[in-house]
Amino acid sequence: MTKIDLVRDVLDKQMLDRNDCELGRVDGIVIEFPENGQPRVARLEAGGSVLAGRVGDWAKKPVRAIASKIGPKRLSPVKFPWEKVKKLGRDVHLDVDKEETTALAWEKWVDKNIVDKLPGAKSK
Amino acid sequence: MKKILQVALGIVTSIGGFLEIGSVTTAAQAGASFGYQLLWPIALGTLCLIFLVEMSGRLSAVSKHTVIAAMRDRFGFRFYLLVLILMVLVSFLVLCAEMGGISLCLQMSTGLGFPWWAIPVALVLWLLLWRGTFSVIENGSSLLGLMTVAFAVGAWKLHPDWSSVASGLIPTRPSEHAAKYWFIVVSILGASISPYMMYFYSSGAIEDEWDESYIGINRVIAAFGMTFGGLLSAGVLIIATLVLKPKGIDVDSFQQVALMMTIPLPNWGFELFVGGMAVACLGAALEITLAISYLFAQGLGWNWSENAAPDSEARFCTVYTLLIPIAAIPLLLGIEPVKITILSMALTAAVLPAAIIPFLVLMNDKDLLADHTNGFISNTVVVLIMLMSFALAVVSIPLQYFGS
Amino acid sequence: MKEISVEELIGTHVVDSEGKKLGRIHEISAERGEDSCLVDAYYVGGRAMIVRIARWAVPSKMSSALESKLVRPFRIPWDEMDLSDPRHPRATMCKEQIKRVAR
Repeated sequence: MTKIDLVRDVLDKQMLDRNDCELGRVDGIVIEFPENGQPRVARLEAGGSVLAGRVGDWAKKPVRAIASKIGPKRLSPVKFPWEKVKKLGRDVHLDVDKEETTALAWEKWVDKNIVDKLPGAKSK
Repeated sequence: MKKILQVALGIVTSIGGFLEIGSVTTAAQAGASFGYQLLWPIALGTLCLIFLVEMSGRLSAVSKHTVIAAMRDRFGFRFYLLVLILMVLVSFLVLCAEMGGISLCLQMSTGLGFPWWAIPVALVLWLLLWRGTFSVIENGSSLLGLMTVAFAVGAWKLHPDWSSVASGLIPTRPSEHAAKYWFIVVSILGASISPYMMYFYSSGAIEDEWDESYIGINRVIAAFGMTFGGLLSAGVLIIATLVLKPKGIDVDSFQQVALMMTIPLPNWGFELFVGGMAVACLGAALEITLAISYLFAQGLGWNWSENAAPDSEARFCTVYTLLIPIAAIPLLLGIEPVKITILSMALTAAVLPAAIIPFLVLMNDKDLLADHTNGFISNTVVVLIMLMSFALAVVSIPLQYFGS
Repeated sequence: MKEISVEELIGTHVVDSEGKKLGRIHEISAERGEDSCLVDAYYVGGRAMIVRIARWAVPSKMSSALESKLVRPFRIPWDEMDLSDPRHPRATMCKEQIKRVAR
């Protein structure tokens, strides 16, 4: 068992998949409180709705309104169960493949609807 | 041998990349209004920039993280958001100014008014980022920007009294027009100490895959490159002192700065100025655009790299694709770029603490930098200059705009 | 099973069992095992803020030493924190007892 600090060592860190591809940052950490028993870290979360909550309650509604109108219309955050955390260091390494997650939903939507429509997007 | 070449290229690109509309306009204003008296903020600003650039490179080479990424890691989202908002707003204004600088140069060469050039300039800027790689952009524009060495040549050819020039390095109080004097001090400091340089340089170190072995190179590049660049700014001030001040010409347009080059360099002065400044402003515009895109991408955890194709870095590329046309709007509306420049430089000085304080905390973090944290001198120099810039900005900006 | 996010808790004011103010939650420590990560304690109080800032500026070994010798935040073990209302956390001990537990 190693001791960690959730804010200093996990929150806001860059998440990387098995191939060291960026998955976004740890925007939120959810703790589960069983009826009887020690609370445990359930999962890491990422996404605009989570960030909006960190700015303030007032920010959640407009962000939700925007997310429901444009983009991949993913209204719930990206979730990674704690069991997927392989390594903690400068970055948080997860035992997932980016293609298996919804972490890049916005990236793919922007690519399809904006970038791919412009010439020369595929190479440099 | 490879590293020697890299050092040489690094220094050359730093010199070529130093000057832009802000440093030239503020130096020319300083010389025209106060002669050599305002050489000291150029020296101070350059000194501070040397330290900041060296620190940015060192942070990235050792920690393999950019300044922005390290800032979000350490300070959390809300602090990052505050810095993001401030830096994007101020950098955006500077970007408008640089695009304005390119447009003004084109206006001076062709006679066609600068608003007409806003869209072509925006298009060229976007194309270079869309299709160009990091090294092509950085090296290409900086090497071409070496035309600005004409300022050093021009100053030398005017045979200034070097002892008077040297006395300008000592801070003195103005005998008149104090509000204007201190405002120009603030603008010079803001023109030299540009936070976007830190973000751009540290991202470049990651793009170029620097490691600890580059620490020495980084120091040499920062010191020599920025010093030579500062000398070019000083050259502008000297020429303005000897050409514009005796005639009582106050610099309020770029054209005046261009014309002053025809005195020391009658054959090529104007062309060198226009060509050199167009490229220098283009280089600065590219750096600022990338810096703003890096601010979003690195802080929010997106993929980012100027070397990768746009479709693999979609959000990163979309930031600059949206940013550039928006920055062209003030020019399309005919707002004078020099006015935007002066204001943006002063505002940069005012927001410096937001950029530098977290950066200094990171530079003293042994977890991040192991044995390569800041020494006493780096910390002291940067803190003092930053505090001075901020204090002056807070006092002089209102005085300049509301007091005169 | 109830779920609360870390971001909701960080910055909230904590009171002791008698309603006396203790400060804000600044850090949550946990024990990381093979496949689980169990919450260990909550760090509360103005001094915890100093430690959090100090951690930015000094290495982790030094900040632990600082924490134990000079700066002692309130450390509230997981089973002594009542989070039935996450916006108003309440320690189940009184302030004087908690101080004694602090490192």
